[in-house]
Amino acid sequence: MADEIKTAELPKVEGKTFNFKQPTELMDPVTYGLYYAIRYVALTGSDPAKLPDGKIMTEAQVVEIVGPAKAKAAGLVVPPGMKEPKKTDVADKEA
Amino acid sequence: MATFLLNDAALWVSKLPETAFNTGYTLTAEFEKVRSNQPVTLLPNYDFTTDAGKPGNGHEFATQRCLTFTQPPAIAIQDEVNNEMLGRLLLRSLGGTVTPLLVSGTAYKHTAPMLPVASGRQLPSSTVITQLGAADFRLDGMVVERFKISQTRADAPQVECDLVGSGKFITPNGVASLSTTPSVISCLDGNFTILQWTDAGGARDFTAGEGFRNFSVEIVNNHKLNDRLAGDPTNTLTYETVTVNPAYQRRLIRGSRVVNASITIPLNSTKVEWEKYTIGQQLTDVIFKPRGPIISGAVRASIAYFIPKAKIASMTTGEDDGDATVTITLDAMYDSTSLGAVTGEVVNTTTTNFK
Repeated sequence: MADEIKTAELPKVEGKTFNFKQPTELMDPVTYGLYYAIRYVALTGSDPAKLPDGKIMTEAQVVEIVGPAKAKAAGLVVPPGMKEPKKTDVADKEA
Repeated sequence: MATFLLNDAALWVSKLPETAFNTGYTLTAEFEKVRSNQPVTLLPNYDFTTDAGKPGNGHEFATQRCLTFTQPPAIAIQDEVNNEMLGRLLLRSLGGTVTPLLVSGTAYKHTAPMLPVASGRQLPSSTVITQLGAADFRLDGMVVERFKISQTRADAPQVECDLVGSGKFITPNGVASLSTTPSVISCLDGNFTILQWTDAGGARDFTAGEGFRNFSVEIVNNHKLNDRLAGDPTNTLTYETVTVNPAYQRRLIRGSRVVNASITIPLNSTKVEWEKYTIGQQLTDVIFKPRGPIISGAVRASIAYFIPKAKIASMTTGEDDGDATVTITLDAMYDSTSLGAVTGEVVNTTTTNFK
């Protein structure tokens, strides 16, 4: 059963999930890449609620947080029509 | 009468931090033998006051000398990394609460953050025994002043660990039948090292492609070695009917902590890192993780420092055996989740009480 996370605004999506409860040593390459991509968003945005540690997240939740570009970069097959998340980090904005 | 080679020097460190600062361990099983590339031998030194040079004596020479303080002893350990005693000292270099976690099978992960500011400035202390012939001392209240992990290419990663102490000591050490060999140590040989950070483009693996040339990461705790206070406790030493009582520090608190980290990579046809440096892009999860053999499943023996948030402080060009390189130095930044700038991690087969 998935841990409760801040997903009130997210659509309920059935399908693939990512287990971020497991140690990084045991993650497959896609989950590993997504784990650090989500942490990047959480840490640079000073939003610890988004940290993936100890959670199981759906594909939609992951894409919602990191955006389709980073999700694709991590090896995820992203459905068309997904929008990039709002940038919160100053450095990201500058980038 | 026996004489010794300098390399005959032996060193033991308490398996656990002292239960209270300056409260030394005394039982054989409480110590573990430690190797070091540099022999560690120690004779405590003292501070004195004299009247040398004072007007009134009629000359510049001393007529009186008073023993005051035991100087803080310092020990430098250098060796290839291991996930046993040096792993414990890595966790003590940070000082936060150690959390054990069963990772897989018989593999356990022990993680610790920096000691939060609200928890004070006294880092966990160790009891150390140094022995070479008659130079045989048990030193209490030894704290990690500096801990550095470094690696060049695929060479075995190295550790430098400096310990400093309160000055409390006992001689001879008084612990019977100390172990004669270090504990079994995994070979963390440098080939399986993880060196990565995450930036806006995702995880950047410095072991992929052209690889890295070297890295180092270092914690310096800047302990106050002159924090002497009236009422400090004293050592009691009696030789030839004379007893002296040089004092030692009742505490040995850290100063401002410093994190030094750098990565050297080949200078190639892109300048991605320089661009990130220029715009001040935030890096997260900078991982310096030498690893060794598999313990269970895909989990390898390891020892690691993590910098949760960092920025590139500078970039300089250089060379490595003629190859053009770039050295990236990092500024470790405060992470409000771990309440520090660095966290530590050791993976081994010890179930608990690894700290």
